[in-house]
Amino acid sequence: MSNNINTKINQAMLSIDGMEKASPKPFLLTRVNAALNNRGAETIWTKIAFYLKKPTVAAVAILLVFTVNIIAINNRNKLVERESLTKSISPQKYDFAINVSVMYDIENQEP
Amino acid sequence: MNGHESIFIEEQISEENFADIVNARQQMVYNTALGIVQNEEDAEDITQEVFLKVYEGLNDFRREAKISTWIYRITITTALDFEKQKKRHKRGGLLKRVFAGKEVDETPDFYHPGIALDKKEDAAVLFLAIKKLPEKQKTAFLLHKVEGLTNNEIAEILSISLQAAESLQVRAKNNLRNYLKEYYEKHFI
Repeated sequence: MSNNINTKINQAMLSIDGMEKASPKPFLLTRVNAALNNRGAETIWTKIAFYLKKPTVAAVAILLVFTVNIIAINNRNKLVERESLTKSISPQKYDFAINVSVMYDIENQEP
Repeated sequence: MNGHESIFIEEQISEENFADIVNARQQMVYNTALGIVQNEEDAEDITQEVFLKVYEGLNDFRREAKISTWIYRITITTALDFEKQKKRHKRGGLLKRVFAGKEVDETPDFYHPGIALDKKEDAAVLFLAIKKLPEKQKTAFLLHKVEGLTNNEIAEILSISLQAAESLQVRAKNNLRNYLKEYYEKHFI
């Protein structure tokens, strides 16, 4: 068994000796030239689209949207709290009509 | 003069003879890339990408290195980057690994078109083992075996000393033997 494995290892190690070179598909130069021309035709929008397609950029954008939303919701809650506080305080603090008699009350007193 | 000696001939580089460079070096670039990524379509894409980089870098190339050394470096970097990116983007890779254990990478699936028919199975197992080698060992081994380069030429391409290149070869062969032993102990009946 051990001898067989050693034979297989040696066979495998020698299997790529004297191998032939592989060749790419024909017309490589034409394809390279076409790719070079396409690269030249890249506009600013294709470059922007290329960056926007990157997962990191997309993840950062999503994170930004979430953060802005959370900040907006927090601010809204604070505003509502402040409004309700103002409403509960104002009648007691600013309602002068409750305890103070004004001139109108004096003038309309009936005999 | 054999193939790889002719690679190291000095030559004039300009945009005018870019076509000659593509025609003369396409096999060298394609074979190096094919050895690293072990997929014919990916190797085609890499070959095209390498020549685009060569074209764009022609003006910056200052003959500090031979043109073949320069193109080999571009090819190796592009192929290794491509492989890393592919591994990162492999969908379901993690799930497959979790559910299938190590078995996912244990099937020889690359049959090099230049290998004789009677050696194809053995070579496929060897390429499976090559895939597991560390980057530098893999590159050094492939440049020697596939491209037929000497350790001196490999040292120049990888920007390392001759001793380091020799050491890479020895470590690559030892690691390959270990991987193959492990493989055949599991799969050989």
